[in-house]
Amino acid sequence: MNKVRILMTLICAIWLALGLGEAQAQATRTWVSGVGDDANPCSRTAPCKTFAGAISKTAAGGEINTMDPGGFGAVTITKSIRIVAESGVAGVLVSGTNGIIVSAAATDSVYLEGLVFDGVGTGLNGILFNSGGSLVVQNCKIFGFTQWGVLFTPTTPGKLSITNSVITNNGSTPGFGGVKVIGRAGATTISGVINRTLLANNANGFLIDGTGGGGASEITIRDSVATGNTGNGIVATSAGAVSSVVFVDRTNASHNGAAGIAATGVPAAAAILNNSNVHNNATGLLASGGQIGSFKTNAISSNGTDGSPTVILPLN
Amino acid sequence: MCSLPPRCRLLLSLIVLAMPAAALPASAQGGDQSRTAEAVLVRQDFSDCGNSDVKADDPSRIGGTVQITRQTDGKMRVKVAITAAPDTTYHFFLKCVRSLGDIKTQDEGEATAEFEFAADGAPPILTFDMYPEGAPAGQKFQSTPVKLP
Repeated sequence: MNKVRILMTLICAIWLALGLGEAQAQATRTWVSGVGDDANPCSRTAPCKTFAGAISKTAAGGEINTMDPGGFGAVTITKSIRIVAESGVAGVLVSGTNGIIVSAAATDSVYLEGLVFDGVGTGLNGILFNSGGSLVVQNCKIFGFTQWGVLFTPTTPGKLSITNSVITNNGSTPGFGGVKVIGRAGATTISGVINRTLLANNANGFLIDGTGGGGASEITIRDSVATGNTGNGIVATSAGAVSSVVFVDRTNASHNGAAGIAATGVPAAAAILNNSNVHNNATGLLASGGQIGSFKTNAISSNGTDGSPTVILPLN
Repeated sequence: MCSLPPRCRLLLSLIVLAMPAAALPASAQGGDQSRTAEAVLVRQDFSDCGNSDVKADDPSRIGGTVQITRQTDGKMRVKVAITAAPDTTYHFFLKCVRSLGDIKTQDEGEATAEFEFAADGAPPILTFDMYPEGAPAGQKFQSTPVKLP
């Protein structure tokens, strides 16, 4: 009997010594490299190969860093995380599917910096934000997706920030384009900023849509350009009483195949312009059911039809 | 022209209006929509021949798209775009009917391929599946069912 006890004790000791009895700890910071391996622990000295390989080894609230240029692949994010690439090209190259999907909890925040999303003409969405608290997109390039470059469609109140980014050549059919914000049931409020960003040569540039079942949504587009899109440059649309507003500040909407700035559906859909240029579009300002407000500080000219704001707002 | 009777002028106007549409190639006209259908490849190990339980409701399980076009010669052209395991050859099937060929992913997992098959004998509802040699669990994809265009 004693022999059995000793044998069992020995087996337990060996098991624990090998670390087999405990769950693998997640690191707050992990690393990926173009020459890494997902079998590695994603440490600085033994980096992983892909974001998908690294994320399971990264603690919630942690950060994945790139060590060198590489293609790091698609990933689904289900927790607070930062993916920061400041080491050259950090590619997310996908075909027939989405680049990064965010399906996180209402309190989770996701930060993406320095990534190059390439849908090679068949990818679905560059970034598909299905749920989560907030999304920050910084210094990213997103192109070649058949649906949206960024589709922000939360189910709880959500915040979106896109800064210093280039979003081009997305949307293979007229219903898609660069960036779409559409809250679904449960997203009682959505707010955000698109700052210093190029929305060019997409099917449409930017769309804020109040018809998804969510609540009031407000996005500011500042110091940005919506140009060369085959459809509209910047659009607010809604139905019923759901407020859907885009503030367009110091921004250029030009050379778009339809309207430069449009507000459609119901009066609760509004585009409000300040210090912006709208020129060389088929239609400059299009208020079709929605409202276009102006502080009378804009330059609207040389469009097929210039159109005019429906509401003049006071400067104060 | 001015001397033409009103009915004649109306007829000419109708012909002029109809000409641009008739001059468009078949692919550029609205009717072309019915010649193309699209399915989604979902990461799922098993299903029946009709893939009756395959749904594209979880974007994290979507691995690619399949576009099917009926060509003028009656053949079906299948364009496949996937992102799966890197540097891996996937066998692609018209499910329960026959193999259509192989797709080899590149080092970032993406790949595109085109196949053709005769529409004669194809089931009215098309389904596809694909998997690497040995069909390892977790590496198999099933398409959503799609009506023969």
